[in-house]
Amino acid sequence: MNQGSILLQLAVQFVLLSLLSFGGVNVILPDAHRFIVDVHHWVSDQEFADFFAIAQAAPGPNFLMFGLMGWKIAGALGAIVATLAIGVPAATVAFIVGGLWHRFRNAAWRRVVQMGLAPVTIGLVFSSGLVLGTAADHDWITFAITAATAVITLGSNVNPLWLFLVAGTLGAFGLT
Amino acid sequence: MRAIAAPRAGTDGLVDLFFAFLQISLSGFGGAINWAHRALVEKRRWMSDEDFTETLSLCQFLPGPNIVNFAMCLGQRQHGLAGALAALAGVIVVPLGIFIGLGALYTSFGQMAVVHGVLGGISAAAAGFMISVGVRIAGPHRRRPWSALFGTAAFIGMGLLKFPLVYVLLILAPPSIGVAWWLEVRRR
Repeated sequence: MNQGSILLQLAVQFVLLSLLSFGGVNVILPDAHRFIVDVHHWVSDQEFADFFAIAQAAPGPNFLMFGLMGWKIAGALGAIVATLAIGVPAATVAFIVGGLWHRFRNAAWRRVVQMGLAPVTIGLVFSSGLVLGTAADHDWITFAITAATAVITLGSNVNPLWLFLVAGTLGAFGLT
Repeated sequence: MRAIAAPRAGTDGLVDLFFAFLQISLSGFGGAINWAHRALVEKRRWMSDEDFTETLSLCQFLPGPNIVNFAMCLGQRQHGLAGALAALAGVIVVPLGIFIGLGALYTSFGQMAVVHGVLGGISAAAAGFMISVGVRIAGPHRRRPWSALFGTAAFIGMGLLKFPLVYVLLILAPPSIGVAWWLEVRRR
């Protein structure tokens, strides 16, 4: 497949995901994985998990990991196309709706739509957890890190960055 | 209540927006939006607390990364389209450069055992963090059987069966919103 055709497919899919990302990036992660890893094999399962790890550890919003994937798939142009495709459609919606916001900020239908979307969002976030866990957990130690992180973040207010630091350190000593 | 500071006019205002959102974007470990309150309400006093909460709830409702939506809304309010674009550029340009730099390092050194191990550890932790986010947002829905039904269906469709997201949303969102509407009507 040539570069232009790959870029076009990537852009079309990301534009779609951008408009479907009710609840933010966590919701579209499984579909991005399905499309990029399972369908097109542009990025390996391992790389997908690594890019997410980089996005978590790096300063900057996590949605930029899609730019990183674009870069991996098609170089600098890929990074720019992917970032714009994931960012601009949703941003355009926000620009338009943001201007009209005061007209319906207390509208009952908005609360109803929000309530209705929430359960689906929850299911999709758990799907993201499954996708990331499947890619990252290949032995009992990595599985234990996943479980411990989930339990500790739920049971305390510790900044997850500390847990990433501990997990990364364990990894540096070859434990993962 | 503290007075709200007026944004500066013209190019100065655009530069302010760019740097405000650059700072928020770069501080965004574990969710940029937590830092947005500090930068926009406490430090710059561009918004009141109430205004911030309302804008945030809109941004969470709309598709897209919350921080991008927030940049568009506040940028527009201060300086129209130019303001929105300045704020958006602040969110994206520099952090993307950092991401690509890290990506380049990853390509060069990703095969080294240490780098491989560090990323393996972080991604295992990130999976756990994602699960905890799911549990947190599911909390308020604990006693709602309909929520459990649609949430489980979404998990099976997307997570286990790996259907395209478009179909999962097209099939599940309308009935889920329908039930929410029905419950709302019945409650009145």
